[in-house]
Amino acid sequence: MSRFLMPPPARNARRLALRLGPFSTRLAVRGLAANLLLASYLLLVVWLGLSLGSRPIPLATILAWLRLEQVNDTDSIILGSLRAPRLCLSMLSGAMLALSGALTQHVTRNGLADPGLIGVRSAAALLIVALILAWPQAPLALRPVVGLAGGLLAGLVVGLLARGASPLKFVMIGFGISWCLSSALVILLASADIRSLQRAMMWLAGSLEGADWPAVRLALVVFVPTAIACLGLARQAELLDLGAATASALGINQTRLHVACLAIAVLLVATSVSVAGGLGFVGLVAPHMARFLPRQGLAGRLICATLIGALLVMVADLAGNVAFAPIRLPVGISLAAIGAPVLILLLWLRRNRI
Amino acid sequence: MTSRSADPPTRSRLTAEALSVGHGGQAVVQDIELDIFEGCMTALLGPNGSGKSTLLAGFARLLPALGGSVRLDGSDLATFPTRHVARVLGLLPQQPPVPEGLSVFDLVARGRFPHQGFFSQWSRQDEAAVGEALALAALADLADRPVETLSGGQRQRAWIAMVLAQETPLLLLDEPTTFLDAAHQVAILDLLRDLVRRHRRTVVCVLHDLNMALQYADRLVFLKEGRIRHVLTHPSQCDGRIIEEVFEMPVVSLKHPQSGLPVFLPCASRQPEARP
Amino acid sequence: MTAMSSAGHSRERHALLLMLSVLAVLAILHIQQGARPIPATVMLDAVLSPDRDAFDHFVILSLRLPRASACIVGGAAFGAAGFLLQVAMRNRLAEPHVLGLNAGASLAVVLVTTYQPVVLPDILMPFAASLGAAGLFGLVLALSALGSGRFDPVRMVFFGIALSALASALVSAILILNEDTLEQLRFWLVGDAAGGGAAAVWSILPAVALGLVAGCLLMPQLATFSLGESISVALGASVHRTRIAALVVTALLCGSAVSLVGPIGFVGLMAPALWPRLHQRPSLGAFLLVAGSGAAILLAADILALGLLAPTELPTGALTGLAGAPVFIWLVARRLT
Repeated sequence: MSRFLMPPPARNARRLALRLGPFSTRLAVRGLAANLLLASYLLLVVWLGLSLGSRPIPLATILAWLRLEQVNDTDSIILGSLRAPRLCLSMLSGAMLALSGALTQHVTRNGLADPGLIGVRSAAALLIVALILAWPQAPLALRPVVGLAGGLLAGLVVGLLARGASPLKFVMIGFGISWCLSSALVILLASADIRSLQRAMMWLAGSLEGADWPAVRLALVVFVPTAIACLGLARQAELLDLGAATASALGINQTRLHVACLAIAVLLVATSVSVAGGLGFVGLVAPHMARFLPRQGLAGRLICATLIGALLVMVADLAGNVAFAPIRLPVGISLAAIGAPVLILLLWLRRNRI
Repeated sequence: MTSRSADPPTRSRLTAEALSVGHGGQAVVQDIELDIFEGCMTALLGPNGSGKSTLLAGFARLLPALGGSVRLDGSDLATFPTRHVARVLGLLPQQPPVPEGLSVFDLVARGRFPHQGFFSQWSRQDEAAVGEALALAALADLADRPVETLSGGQRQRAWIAMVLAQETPLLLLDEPTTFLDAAHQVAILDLLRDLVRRHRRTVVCVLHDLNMALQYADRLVFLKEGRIRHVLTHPSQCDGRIIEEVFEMPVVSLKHPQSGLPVFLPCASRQPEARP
Repeated sequence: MTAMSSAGHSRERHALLLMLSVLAVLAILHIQQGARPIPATVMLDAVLSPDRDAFDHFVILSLRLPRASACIVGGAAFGAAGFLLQVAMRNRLAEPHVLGLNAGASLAVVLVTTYQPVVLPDILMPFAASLGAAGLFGLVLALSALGSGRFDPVRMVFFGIALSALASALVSAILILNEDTLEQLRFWLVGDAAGGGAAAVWSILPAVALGLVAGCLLMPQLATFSLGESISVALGASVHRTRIAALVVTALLCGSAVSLVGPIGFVGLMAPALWPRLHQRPSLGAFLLVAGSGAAILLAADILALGLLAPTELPTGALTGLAGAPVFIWLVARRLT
C-alpha cells in the first residue's frame, strides 16, 4: 500500500528487442508484465461477473457454456442474454472511455482533460436523447453518429473558447459547457411525454440494464478499429512529449496528428455514451492509475489505461449489483462512488505535476 | 586545437534565397541570402531579438517562408515530404522540455523515428545508431538514468545525442550552450566540432557567447534587426569594428594566446568607481 | 432598506430602488402566472382582505403566493451566499453550487429524511442542511489547500466539482435504495420551488433572516478584504476569524435555501455579475443589492419554468443552470486575458 501511495520513482524501463524478418519492435519488459497482469485480472473479473448474481453459476457450467456445450436452459439464458452482454458492454464502454481519456490527456498535455467530463459527453447525450425522443424507432447504430456530431461540436467550442488557456482553466471552461448542456438536457427531458421519457431516462442513468448483443456489436465495431488506429498513432503521438519543435523536426505533422487523435477520442466517448449512457470518472482516473505502473511507451500506456478502464467499470457494475442485492445500483452511481475518492487521491498524490 | 580545414568548403547544402521568416505573417528576418556549406560549422550571432532563432526555425521548416525560399541541395525545402526532411535535417530546439520519466536511452531512441515504420520499429540499424550517439555524447554510462535526474550539461548532451541518433547530415542547434557553465560549454562545442571534423556533418548553431563562437566556428554570420550584416568565412576576419557595429557596445580586441584567434572584451566603463 | 445604505452612496440607493421595483414587478408577474387567469384587482383583494371561500383567493394564498415567496427567500439566500463566498475567498468563481455546498446540503437533507436519526422539527431542517453544506465545503477547502498551502481558486473549483459528483452519487444511491424518500424528494432534488407551501417558507425564514443579518454585520469587515490581505491586517481586521465567520454564514444561507427550493445553482454567480464593479467595493448596500438580485433572478427563472412550456412545468434549477453556466464561462474566459 505504501508503495502505491508514494509518487512513482521514475523507473528505467528495461527493454527487450524483438525481431522477426522485416518486423522489429522493442518491448518494455516490466510494462508488458504489468499489462499481462491486468489482463489476467480482467479474466478473473469476467469469471466473477458471469458467476455472481441472484443465481450463482459454477465455473464448470460457465466453461461448458463458453465451449458452446449443452448446459441447462436457465443457466444458458442467464448467461447468454443477461450476464454476458452486460459484462461485455461494461468492459467495452470502460475501455473506450479510458482509451479516449488517456489519448486526450496525452495529446492536450493536460492531466485533467477528459472528453467525458468537459462537455463532450453532455453534448453527445443531449443529441442522443433528442434523437430518442424525436424518433423512438431510430436504429441503434444512428446513436453514435448523432452523438459524435454533438461531441465534436462541443469539443470544438471548448477548444475555441479555451485557446491558450492553462490546463485547469481549459477544464473549467469545459465544465461550464457541460453544465449548460446538462441543464438543456433536463429541460428537454421535462418537456418530453412520459413514454419516450422512460426510455431516455433508463439510458441516461448510465445503467447497463438494457445491455443486449446489438449494443455490444455496435461497441465492438467502433472500438476495434479505433483501438488499432490508436496503437498506430501512438508511435507518433509519443514524440509530442519532446516539445512541438522537436516533434516537427522528427517528421510529425502535428495538426493532422492532433485532429486525428481528438476525433478518435470523441468518437470513442460518443459511442460509449450511446451504448451505456453517462459513465463518469473512468476517462479521468484510468490514465492516472496507469502512471503508477512501470514505465512503458505510449502504446503500452494506452493499453494499460484501457485495461484499467474496463476493469473499473466491470468492478463498479459488479459492486453495484452485489452490494445492495436484490436492488441494483446503476453503474454510473457506483462508479462515481468509487471514482471520485480515487480521483481525489490521485490528484493529491500528483498535485505538483498538474 | 587550431587545425582548421584548409580546403575551402565545397558544396552548399542549405541555401536561403531572399528568405523572409516570421510569426503570424509578420516577418522577423528579411531578405536573407545565405549558404550553409557542407562539412562546416556555421555560427549565427547577433544581439537579442536579431532573428537568429527565427532564421534557424526557417531553415528547419518550423516556420514557413513568408517570402523567398530555403533550398535543400538545390530544391525548394517546402516541396519535400516531412519524413524526408526529418532524415536530412536534425534540430535541437532552444531549452527543450524535460519529459517526465523517460530514460536517456529512450529519449535518444526517439530520434530514430524518421527511420522507423509500422513494422520496422526497432531494427539493428536503430540499435547501432542509438549506441553510437550515446557513445559520441559520452552518455553510455547514463543510458538507464531518467532524464529528469541529470544535470543541465548532461541533459543537453542527451538531447544532442537524440539529434545525433537521427543520423542527419545537417544539424541545426538553437543555443545549445546557453545556461551551461564554461566547462560544459566547452564539452558541448568540442563534441560539435568533432562531428564536423571527423564525421563530416554540417552544423549550424545559434550561439550567445561570442568568444566561444570565435574559437569553434568555421563561418560566422552576424545578424542585426532581422537582416544579415556580415558573413565571415573565417573567424580571424572578425575585428572590433564589426562587433561594435552589431552589438552596439565598445570592445577591446585581444588575441587568444593559443589559437591566435580574436577575442573581444567589453571596454571598462570610463569612470571606474572606487572600490570600497 | 434605503435607510440602511449610508447617505453618501446615492448610486447604490438608486440601484437598490431599481432592484426593489423590478422585484415587485416580477413578483406580480409570478403570481399572475398559471392556468387560471386572475385579474390584478382580485390579487390585491386576496392579500388585503382574504376570503377563504373564494377560489381565486385560495389559489393565490395557498399556491401562488407561497411559491413566489419561496423564490424570493431562496433566491435572496443564494445570492447573498454567493457574494459572501466570493468576497471572503477573494474569488469571483466561488459559488455554492460550484464549490459543493449545494451538494453537501442535499446530501444532509436526504440523509436526515431517509434515516431520521432524530426526528427534526421542520424549523431545524435548514440547520441540518447547513451542516452538510459546511462539511462538504470544508473538505473542498482542505483538499485544495493541502497541496499548495493556499486556496488556489481554480483548484478549489475542481475539487468542488469532484466532491459534488461524489455527494450526488451518494444521494442517488440512497434514493434508489429508499423509494419512499425518492417519492418525497423527487421534485425538490431538481430544484423546484413548488415544494412545501407556506409552512415551508415560514420554517426557513428564521434561518435565512439570521444569515442575512449576520452577513450584514460581517460586511464592513469583509470590505477591507478587497484591499488585499496584508492591508486588511494592517487595518485591524482579523482576517482569519472574519473569513471563517463568513463561510459559516454562507453555509447557513445556502443550506436554508437548499432545504427550501432544492439545489439550484448559479444564482450566487449571476446576481453579483449583474452589477459591475461590485467586488471592488463590497459594502452593506452591495450585499443587499446582491440578495435582492438573487431573489429577482430566481423569480424570473421560476416564471420561465412555469410559463415557457405551459402546462408542462420545467425544473427551475435547469433554467438557472442554462443561464448561469455561460456566466461562469465568461468569468473564466475573462480571467485568461
